[in-house]
Amino acid sequence: MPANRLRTLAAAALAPLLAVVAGCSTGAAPAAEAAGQPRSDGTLTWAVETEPVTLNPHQYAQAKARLLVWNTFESLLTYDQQGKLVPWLATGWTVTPDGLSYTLTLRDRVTFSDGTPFDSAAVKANIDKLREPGYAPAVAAVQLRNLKAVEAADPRTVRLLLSAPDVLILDFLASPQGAQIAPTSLKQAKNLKAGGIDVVGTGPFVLDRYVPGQELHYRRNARYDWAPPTATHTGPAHLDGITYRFLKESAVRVGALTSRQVQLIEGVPATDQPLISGDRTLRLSRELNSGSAYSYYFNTSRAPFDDLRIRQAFREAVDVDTVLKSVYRDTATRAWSVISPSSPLYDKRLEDRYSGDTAKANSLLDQAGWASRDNDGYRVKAGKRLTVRLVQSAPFVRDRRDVLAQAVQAAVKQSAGIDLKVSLVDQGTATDAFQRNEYEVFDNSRADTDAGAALNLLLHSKGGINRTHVDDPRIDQLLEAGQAAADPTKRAGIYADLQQQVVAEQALLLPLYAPADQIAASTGVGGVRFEPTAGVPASAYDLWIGK
Amino acid sequence: MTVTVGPPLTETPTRVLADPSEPAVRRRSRPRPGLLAAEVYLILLVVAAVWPAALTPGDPLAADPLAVLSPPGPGHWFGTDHLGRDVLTRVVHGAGHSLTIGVAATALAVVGGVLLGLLAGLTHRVADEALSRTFDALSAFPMLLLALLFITIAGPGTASLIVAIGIATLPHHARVVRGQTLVVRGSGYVEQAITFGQSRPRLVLRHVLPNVVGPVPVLAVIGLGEAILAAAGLSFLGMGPQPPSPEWGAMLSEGRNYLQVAWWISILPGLAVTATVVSLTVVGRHWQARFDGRWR
Amino acid sequence: MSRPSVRAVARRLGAGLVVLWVAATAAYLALLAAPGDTVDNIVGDGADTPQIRAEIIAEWGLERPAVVQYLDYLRRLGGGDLGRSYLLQRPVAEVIGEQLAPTLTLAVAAAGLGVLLALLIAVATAGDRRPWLRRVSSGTELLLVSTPPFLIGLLLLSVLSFRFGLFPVSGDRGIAALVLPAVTLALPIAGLLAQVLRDGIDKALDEPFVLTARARGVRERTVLVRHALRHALLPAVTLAGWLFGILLGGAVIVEQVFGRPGLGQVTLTAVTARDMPVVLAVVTLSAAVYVVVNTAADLAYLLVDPRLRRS
Repeated sequence: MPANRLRTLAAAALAPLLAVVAGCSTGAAPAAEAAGQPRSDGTLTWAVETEPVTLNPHQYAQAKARLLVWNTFESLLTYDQQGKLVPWLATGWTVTPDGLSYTLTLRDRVTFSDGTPFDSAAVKANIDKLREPGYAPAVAAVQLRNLKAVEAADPRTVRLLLSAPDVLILDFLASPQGAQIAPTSLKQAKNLKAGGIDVVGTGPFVLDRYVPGQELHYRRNARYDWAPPTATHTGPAHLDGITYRFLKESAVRVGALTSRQVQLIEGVPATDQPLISGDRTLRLSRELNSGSAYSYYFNTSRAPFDDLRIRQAFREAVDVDTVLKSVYRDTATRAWSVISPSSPLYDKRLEDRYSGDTAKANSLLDQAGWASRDNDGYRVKAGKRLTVRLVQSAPFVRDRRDVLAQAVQAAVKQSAGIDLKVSLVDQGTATDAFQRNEYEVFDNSRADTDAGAALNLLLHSKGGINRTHVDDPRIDQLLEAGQAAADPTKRAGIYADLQQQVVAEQALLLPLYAPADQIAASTGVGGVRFEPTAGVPASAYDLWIGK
Repeated sequence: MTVTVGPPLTETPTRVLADPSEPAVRRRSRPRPGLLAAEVYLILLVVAAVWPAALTPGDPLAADPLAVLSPPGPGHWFGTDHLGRDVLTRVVHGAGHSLTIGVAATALAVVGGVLLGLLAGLTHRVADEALSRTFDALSAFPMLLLALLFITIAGPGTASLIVAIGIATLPHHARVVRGQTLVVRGSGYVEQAITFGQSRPRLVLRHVLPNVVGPVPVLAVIGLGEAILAAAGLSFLGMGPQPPSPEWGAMLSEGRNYLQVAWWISILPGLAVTATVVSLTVVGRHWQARFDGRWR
Repeated sequence: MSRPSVRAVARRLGAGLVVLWVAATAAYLALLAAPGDTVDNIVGDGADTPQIRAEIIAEWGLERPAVVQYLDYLRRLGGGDLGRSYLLQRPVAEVIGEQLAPTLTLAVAAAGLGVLLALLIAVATAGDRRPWLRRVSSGTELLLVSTPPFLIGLLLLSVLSFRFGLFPVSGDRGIAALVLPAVTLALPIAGLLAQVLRDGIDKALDEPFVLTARARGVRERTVLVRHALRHALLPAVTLAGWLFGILLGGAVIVEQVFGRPGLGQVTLTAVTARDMPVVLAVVTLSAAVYVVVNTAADLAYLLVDPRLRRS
């Protein structure tokens, strides 16, 4: 397709230019001005919420670990502020008109931090490893399901051959799972799947210390000279090194920052934000994540949510704005669709179309036959209480979603007499409940950079997390068309139709809020940024210490 | 001799240990404000558990989004939590959870402990050995680990907590009773009774049991305090009654994220736990002193 | 050593091994009975398709019958192999090994501090010398043993670390970071031990040998420390098993409150994530330590008190 070729050429030509002007186009956080001019030295300590279960990017599964991945590893592509793919370790790509063959050219003079050169053989080794049975089953089964073969045409050219058109393959190439690990590490690392200091990449930092349960330490990769166009500078990182400490409790993180024991923290809950804004030496910044919005999905395969009226009634029973305000103060961004409002695929028309109409909720429930109430004020039908169960897996609860669930629980009880039972359980019990179909509400948000990837899993009849059990050929068709459509405008149109279908028409879910990340930092720290499009804290590459 | 708990075993020691600063005989007649306060608190606690609405008419689950995190003051004497629920109402309603778990777990431990302990102390050596090894194996897990394991299987919740804490504290009671039984069994009057040809069940009921269960009520009161502490700890780790239940440990756990902005959400339920355990211990000690005096 | 005592020792050791095996098996069965199979736990909250499941089953050998897996587990345990963590994809021995030091440091510091405090309190308040001090101290001890340790920890943390910045908030970074967690864990221990010790001292003070010492004109302090305290220490020593339990159980909570790395955190994460190999290892290890501590105590008694050798 000529359009694609043109874009590639333009991207390749613009790369160096972009790198220079990126400071304006990517909108560096205001913290930069307060700290003065970028300087090259010093070390920082950053308290993060989550200790990654693995340091191997191929095994990546925690959005909260993304900021760590890009310190040591890099992908072939990345997203810019507008959600467009731009080159990183690749200089560009072309695709054949049938959408079945992608050819990528690779950047020259890039080396892994152990000295191994980065070339097409390395890319092939990485992708082949990902498809090896038992290594990364989720990546092989989802992201690479349409990949037929990888060819190293010459040292600087890689060709990906697909069995079906799949624009999401580019999203894979920009994802942490598509990050490049040195082939030497792939062969020799002691615990490859767990990662560690012996699993190396091409990134601006080198991991040199990992104390489980406590911290990670990275030192600058002095030879680094291949920053993506989205960064605000080129050459090696500003910092000599950076330590990430794992502080699970938000109160402890905030306490560590306000008592000057760390310089940056991420994950600042709403109630603690006044502590940050009340301190003149601290600064708070916030960005919406990409992917799907945090929503309650209704299990349509069993009563009562097999009835459209009950799904609509549940949605109307929740005054989402009030609930969000009570839990998150004024810091949460309400979601109206299954897709996060920060995504280019978001359908704005859904805003204000539903929700918060108590009278409507009650009349819908009356119509559906749940007219009488028991002593506790819950609706009953044929002696059975209108109970719906939400099962939350404790290890994956973030943003105080357990608290939000309690607020929704109180709201649906007060306004419509619905009994929402919330249980916070371990992962095995949760998966078991899903397997046995013993739940009515499923909560989820996904941080995929391309929202289409999330929707494939959540809404396709054969999706890996289709917990609504929706099986609708129209929805499947739209999803498949969206995955094959290369033209952005056409693609946005397809996903708009899809959102109308699942949110407005079928009321398959109650969108609650758009997940966001927060960084609170000392004003002495410059270059505090979020990763473009993904909306999660960026790597330490652009960070520096002022004064 | 028959009433003291015996030498501390390698087990959770009782907190009884008759407070030596209050020799029972010397001070019994003097008014004791501490004891009175403890008794009043326990009575209030029982009222709160049985009929919470008598103390606080509100709904412990009623959220008021407009009054989130209000500090203690008129209207909300213990303030409100992160969902705008009244903390005092929740603390009062929480008494039911804590007492239920504590009483049921203690009952399980005491009844099971007495039965198994008697059995071990009276039966054949092989059975005794098997039972004793089982107690050992159970005690080989620190209580918290045992409870965690149990909750892994049964899932978190009130029933799980009861059984977990009951099982974890059972070996202690069983050992005490077994020890007592052996002492009683070896004592002169049982031998005498045997010589006089008394039947076995009669022997157990008439002579062994009364002498063995002497310390049990006191142990139970103190054990109740321990069970409530343990329940609070496990709930704190998220293993107890699920939200929005107003369980004290769970409230403390939920509230700790707001410690810097709203200390009352976590500290006040925590103090309720402390006050309960202190009161139980004070009353338990008092009873023990009285029993000691009577039996001496 | 005479023949009977060799047999007694062998018997204790054998019993210890049996307890260990029972504990490991119980833990294994418990986890087998837990809802949700192993694959569910490994799949996590991500995509879940038959293909992914099949790969996981093949990788961990989960297609074998439970009995075979159990025997295999015992065989490897016997050989000192604790297996590999489902969640972290690393050898369990490594995972636990790394976390042993912080927990041991915490436990030793807390135990040391607790015992020291208890000794000081008991000696200062035993006898009838200072009734008011005794009242204050027994009131405080009661309060300490009755307060959930996490409440003590939260109070210390919010006041001394957040408010006044005297101690680092968390982590395992040198002595300063150890102070608050160790104090939190030590206070309830001190409260209880002080009661036991004082009780013992009081009893000892009524013994004839104390009267004799006093009559000989030995100073009161010497009587207290040399004679009475020594006498009171013996029953207190039998609390070792209890102390171990409270240290390990307390470590779980204290590490959680202070965000310290350690075995407690590993255990809690493993239990919530159903990381079976790690849970099993922690259970077996803790049972092993308990058995060793208690067998050692039993054997020590055997040496001290020959009357017990025959029982």
